[in-house]
Amino acid sequence: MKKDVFPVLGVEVHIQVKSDRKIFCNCKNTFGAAPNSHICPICTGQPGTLPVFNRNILTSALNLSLALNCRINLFTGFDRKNYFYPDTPKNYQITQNEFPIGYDGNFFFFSPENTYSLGISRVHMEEDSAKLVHKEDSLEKGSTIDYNRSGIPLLEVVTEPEFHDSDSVVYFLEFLKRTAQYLGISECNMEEGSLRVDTNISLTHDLAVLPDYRVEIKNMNTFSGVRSAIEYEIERQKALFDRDLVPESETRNWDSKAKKTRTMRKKESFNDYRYFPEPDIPPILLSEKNLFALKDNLPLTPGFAMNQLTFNFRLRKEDAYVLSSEKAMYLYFIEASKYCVQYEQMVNWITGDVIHYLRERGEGFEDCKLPPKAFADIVKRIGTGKLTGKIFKSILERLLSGEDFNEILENENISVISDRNELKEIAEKILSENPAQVKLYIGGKTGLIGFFMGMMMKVTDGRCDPKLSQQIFEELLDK
Amino acid sequence: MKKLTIADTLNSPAEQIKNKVKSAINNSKGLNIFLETYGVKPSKTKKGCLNNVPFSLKDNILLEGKISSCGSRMLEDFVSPYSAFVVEKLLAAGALPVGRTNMDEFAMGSSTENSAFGPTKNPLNSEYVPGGSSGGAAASVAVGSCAFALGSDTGGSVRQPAAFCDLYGFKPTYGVFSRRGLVSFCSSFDQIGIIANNVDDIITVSSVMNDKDPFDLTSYADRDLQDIEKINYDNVDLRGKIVGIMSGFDPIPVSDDIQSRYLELIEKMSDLGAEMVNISPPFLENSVPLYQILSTAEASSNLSRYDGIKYGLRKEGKTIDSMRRSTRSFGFGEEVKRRIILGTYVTASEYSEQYYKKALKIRGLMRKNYEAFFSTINYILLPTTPTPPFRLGEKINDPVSMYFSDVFTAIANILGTPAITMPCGESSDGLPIGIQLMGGIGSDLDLLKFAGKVAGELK
Repeated sequence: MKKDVFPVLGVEVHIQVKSDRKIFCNCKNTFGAAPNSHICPICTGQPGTLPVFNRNILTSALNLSLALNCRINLFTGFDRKNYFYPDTPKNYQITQNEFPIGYDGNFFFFSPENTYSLGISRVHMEEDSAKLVHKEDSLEKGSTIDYNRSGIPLLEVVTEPEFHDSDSVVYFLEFLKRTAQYLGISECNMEEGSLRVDTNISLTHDLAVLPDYRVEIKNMNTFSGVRSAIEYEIERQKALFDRDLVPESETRNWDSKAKKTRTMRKKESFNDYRYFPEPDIPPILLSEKNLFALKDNLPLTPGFAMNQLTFNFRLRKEDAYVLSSEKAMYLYFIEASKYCVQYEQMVNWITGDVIHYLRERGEGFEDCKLPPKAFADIVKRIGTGKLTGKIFKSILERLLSGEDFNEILENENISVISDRNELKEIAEKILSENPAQVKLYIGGKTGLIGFFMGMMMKVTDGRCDPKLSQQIFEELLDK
Repeated sequence: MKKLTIADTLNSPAEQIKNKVKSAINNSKGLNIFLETYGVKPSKTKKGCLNNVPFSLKDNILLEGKISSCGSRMLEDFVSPYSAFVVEKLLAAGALPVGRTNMDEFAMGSSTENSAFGPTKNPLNSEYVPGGSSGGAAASVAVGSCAFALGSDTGGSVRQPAAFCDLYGFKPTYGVFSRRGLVSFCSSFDQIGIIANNVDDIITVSSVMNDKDPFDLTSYADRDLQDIEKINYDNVDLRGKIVGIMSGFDPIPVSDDIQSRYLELIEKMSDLGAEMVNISPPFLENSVPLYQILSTAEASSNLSRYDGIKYGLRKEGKTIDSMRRSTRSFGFGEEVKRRIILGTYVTASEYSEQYYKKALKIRGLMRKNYEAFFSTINYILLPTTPTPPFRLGEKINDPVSMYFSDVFTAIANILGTPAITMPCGESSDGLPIGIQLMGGIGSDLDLLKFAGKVAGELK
């Protein structure tokens, strides 16, 4: 009988830090600008230039490390990673090797159903490389280099090899992305390359023993690409195991068109990076005191949001997961929750129609023109039967474009008609105008109550108190 | 050979300076001092304390719009996109750059024979080397073409040629002069240095060049240097000063002439009241190998940017790898290649522990050791070189003996301490001899003033 095999996966993530300036020079950190329009002698590696560390990046690095529950190196600094590659203008990369800013972390993350705990090996700062642009045009073959990307600050997160399937990797990535977004570190846009993922995959018969080979997969540009690449690679390696072969250690590229991983380079061409301390940047010394202050002021994390929503607000995990997917949305809910305790209803509105219309308008919760308090009042009104959801929905667009709910309420007939006599009058009129349906109802087709209710809704512009209306119809018809 | 000082130039009409510089340059063409001269254009308006003072730039210090080749084919046509921080400071003070001077390629050498553009000859005797790697810089001052020269000192490259050309040469505490615009050789040792005819001029220029440069994190402002108004040595007293000296040089072979000059100076200083105490400077005999390991390690990394892609020489190749290989094979000279290979070796993961990391540890120990030293003594007096100038071609095929020229100078780079070489008589063959004073970290002005006092007494 074949022995079971278990996949073992570790992930390396590069996150481009959102910052005004690059990490070692004053060039702007932008995406999509004309090639080589944001470059200077420093980020193109001109002779005699020296890196000047942008300390703002340090705060981002510390915040991310703390959010991943890492230990912090109070004595930290940069190292040189030496290798020749045309996208690396100095032919060495300034990175952190010996004393990464964060190490030995433990990240708690969530899926809609579960909670995970993951070992984080390290978090470190480094500079991005330039971008090679390969021209495939037959007339103009060759490669060009765009140095706009050279020197964009990166944070690299390296996990322990603790994943065993593609799902948990994708959940991790999603939650790491949320964390970076909550902390204001990065938009983590995989298409723009502000979040880049490499993964190491191997199989073992015994989870207690780490495999002695490792296949690295690069070039997965979407979350679904990550999932497909991992699943493909696990199957590829399983097939080798089935034939009693051990996969080779190598780096493979994910080809998203062919849906295959392909050999990029074998590990024989092992690179000795000859790391040594970067002499142009003095070591960075952090004080315990500063660290405590940072911990105290750690910005909100999605992990905290999940815990708060599920424990304090007793929301279902799935709902909390959706609600906390965006910091501004979560904060909108928290603000509204001060005025209304119908949390679930609020969540349904927020994650349903409100976000839908906001997105249509190209807006987000941070610039939502319907204030959380007004929103909370509306949900309360719906709860007490003073307003119907239908009406709310019908005026939602106007509210989101800045119209005041109370003004609408005053000037237009939108409040629920719950006056028995008024409703009775309307009901009688409806019945008298539809004798055929009344006959059928009396003949036993009681389902037609829905038809009458529909008429009532139409006549009252959806403002009728539905419970009371139905009651009145039943009374009148049963007579 | 009429030498120029800052005082001379400030007190002479601009036209006269111009002619002096021109004729000095023309008369010394055969010595191969300058790789390029800029033409002297004195300014009519007074800009600052170095108004119309001519100076030369070593070919690895950048001046915007001008070529800086580092004495290498690799950068033969490289035009600087910006000026070095110290050059900006000098220009703002009114100083006039007269040209760029020859050097050992990428500052690797002790004789200027490693220049891709031919050796420079010693103006005092053209059969001899001017020292290196700032040989052109020292020679440019020696022939009177400028009042001072900027060189770079990674292991003695300012002090040794200054000594070989009978001049003053100063390397400050690491960080006193910004390295921005100095092409890196060994980042943690490199310092720009000044070669001049007297200590006054070195103080004046240091005061102009020192500042915290926001684009060099290792630079700092030295209040003492910045606050100088008038230089005088009246309040400097040798009495009460403790100067560490070496009672013998064994196992370091030092020429008899130098030993004699050294002993004479000790006696003289002692007569003037300084307390001369015997010390054996720790690790001195190991400083050359230590220096070679650390400097080649960093150099191998610093020089990897010259790959034919972005600027400088490019030799065509079918693939990017072959292009890079032929560019670097052709563009770098033998000594540079030797050091890149050495540096790659000592940092390779297999050997790093044994060489590079061990050297780092020793450097840490040395720094601690000497810090303690300088809390009890004021200065250390050492020869600048183990021998007087040697002949052209004498050591060029013997790298180890060439490296050994740095035995008394590399220590200040390893420690990051300031050091100045002073002319101190001559050998029996009439060759110049320099003696060196070294102070503790950050004691630059104090050291310069002390050196100025000693120099004054020697006259």
